[in-house]
Amino acid sequence: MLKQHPFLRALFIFFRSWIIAIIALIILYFAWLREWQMTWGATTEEVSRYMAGDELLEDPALNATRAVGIKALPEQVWPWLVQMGYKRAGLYSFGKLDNGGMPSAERIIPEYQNLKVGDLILPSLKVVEMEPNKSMLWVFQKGAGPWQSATWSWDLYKTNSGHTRLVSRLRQQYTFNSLQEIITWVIIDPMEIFMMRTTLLGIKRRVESN
Amino acid sequence: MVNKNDIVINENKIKTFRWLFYISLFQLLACFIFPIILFPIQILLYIEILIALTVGLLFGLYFLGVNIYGIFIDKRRRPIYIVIITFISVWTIWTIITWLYIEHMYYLT
Repeated sequence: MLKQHPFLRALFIFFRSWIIAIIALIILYFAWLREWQMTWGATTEEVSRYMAGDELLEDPALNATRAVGIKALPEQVWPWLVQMGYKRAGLYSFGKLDNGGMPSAERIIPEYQNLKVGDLILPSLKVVEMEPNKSMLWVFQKGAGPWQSATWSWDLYKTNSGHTRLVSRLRQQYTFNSLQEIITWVIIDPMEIFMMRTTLLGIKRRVESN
Repeated sequence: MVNKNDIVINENKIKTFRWLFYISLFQLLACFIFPIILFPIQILLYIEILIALTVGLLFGLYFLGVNIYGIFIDKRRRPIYIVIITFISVWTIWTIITWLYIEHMYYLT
């Protein structure tokens, strides 16, 4: 009887169509989109290759290896990597969100070039390993909220043509201790690619235009 | 010969559709209005652009579907639906271009 009222009928159609759309999106995401976005730009070899920090997390739920080719030598890319960080040169993604409202740097900043093991990239993201011009490992510390104990590593490879392959790997084991954590992961899992892709392409543009 | 009962059913369909139109319009507007409560004014425009590029477009595409359905079911308001469909199509194209060339979008990065 209630469903005969146009408003209630419309509400019913509205919720029903959203449920169908969400189920379709979930199927699409797990069948194809997730794997594509978790390995965006990376070759099969880059995805399977060992990177610093892999041993810290066994079989993580989030294991994203993304890569970009840069027309420059690794030595020219490295300075842009070491100056990354909150209230430093930014993360080259969405400046106003990840760098305290300031845009990410468009030049190499000499005062941020002396990064060393133990320094903080973000308030809870620490440099744990680094081999200049080759690789770097950042580990999220306690207090990083849902990112606690996640690892973020970088590799730079010189290609035969003298260019660089910049590879980023983000690994995290999901924990579902609260509803807030569940919601966080549901949002982060499909959305984090937007930031990471912007970061990689942001580095590429800056290196190549400088 | 048109049956009186058919006209009533058709009118009900249009009424139901218009409610669906208003509900999905409300949903779309709410996703842009809600951040006003949550975020400071300095980064509000930035947040709104990011919403337009992500979840806002998802709601926009839902509204697009509703409007396409409207063209067939509610012929009296067809011009309104055509304008909305055109607007959301342009919005979708802008979003695709923005994500393809995100590193060159200086207002975002």
